[in-house]
Amino acid sequence: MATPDASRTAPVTQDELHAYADDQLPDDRIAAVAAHLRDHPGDAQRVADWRRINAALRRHADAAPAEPPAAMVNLIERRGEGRWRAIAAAIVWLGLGIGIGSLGQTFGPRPDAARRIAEETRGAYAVFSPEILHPVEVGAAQADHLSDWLGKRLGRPIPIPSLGDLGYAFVGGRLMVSEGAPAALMMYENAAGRRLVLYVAASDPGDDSPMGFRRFDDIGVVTWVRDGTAYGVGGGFSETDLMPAARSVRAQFLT
Amino acid sequence: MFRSRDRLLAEIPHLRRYARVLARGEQDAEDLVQACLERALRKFHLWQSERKLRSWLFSIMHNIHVDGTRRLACARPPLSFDDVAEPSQMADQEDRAEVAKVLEAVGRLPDDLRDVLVLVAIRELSYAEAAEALDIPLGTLMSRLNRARERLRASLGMDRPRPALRQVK
Repeated sequence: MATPDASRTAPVTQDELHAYADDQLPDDRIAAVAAHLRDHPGDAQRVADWRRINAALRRHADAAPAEPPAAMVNLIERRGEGRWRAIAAAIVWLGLGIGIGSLGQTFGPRPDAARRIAEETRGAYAVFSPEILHPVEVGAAQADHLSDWLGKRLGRPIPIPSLGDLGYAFVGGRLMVSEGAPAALMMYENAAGRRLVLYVAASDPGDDSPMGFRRFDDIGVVTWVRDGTAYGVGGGFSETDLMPAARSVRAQFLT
Repeated sequence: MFRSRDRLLAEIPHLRRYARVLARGEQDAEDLVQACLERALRKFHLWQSERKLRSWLFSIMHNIHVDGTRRLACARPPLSFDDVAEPSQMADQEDRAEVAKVLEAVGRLPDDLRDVLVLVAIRELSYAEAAEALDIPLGTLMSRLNRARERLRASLGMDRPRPALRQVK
């Protein structure tokens, strides 16, 4: 509705006085505000005072030494590499898992099942949770089909746990490789777009272990092993936030 | 990720400027930046790239500040800002006194007003981005900005008639 002329001559608002003091006023209003300030010495004084306060705070902010401390730079470089290592490790798991598979046992003692499932959950999360277009092979709309398919491949019932009560919607799932055998990955997302993964893989009978929490650089993982099946629930959350999800998953797999 | 790393490195000076006006001393400020970078790295995959990196980082830093420093604040003496700046870095004594006086008055503002004022004053973000970083509506930001500034003018004695004022641009 406002013509260019009207935008030049409209009355000056208080917000515009602030924007003028902060140099955030659109160009076509500068002349109007400047004219207003000429006619209103009280407002001109306020704007000058605000600028003086700004200037003092900026001088304080600018006194920070220019060169960032080595600790900060190292943090970023080290952590960045850590993330790449996690992704590379996951790719190795996925790629070599098929080839080496059961031979792995001959190379040395097996890592304990809980630790292995935690590493694999973390790898799966690092690879797939940043995916925008293809986070899953089978979407939530085909949950029943996914459950049948994963169950058939893993040779055990794979229900799709519902985590709606905790604010996580089911996104979908995919088939994975764990030590040369099929494994299942299910992904969930909360309203803020934060993702959580559930990883399920076969384990040896006798590997049973209770629920435990592990923190990696990038995510936390809750694991447990029960009746020859290993479970990992992982995401960029604290232990307090992850535990209820893990408990809910465990309960839903029991029924 | 390599590009992201460079972008994060480039944000450090801006984060440090913000930390200076949030924290109460140089050491606190550096700790705040360090904590912010750690949390940002941990959550980098959650950053949506249509959102400006700086306002995302600033919102992280603000949250850490609120979670940590503020919870302890009641057990601490009022803000003193005793390490305003190194003399070599401040133009002159008069400037230094003015900065100390303003910081002291800013330190006595209620938290919600101070949050807005310091973030706007350092000119790292537009009003809209600052509102996003603080997770408040733009209208709330503007009204808090106005209240903060009017309170400061009163507490600094700026609202009383003055003969001649040294103009600072």
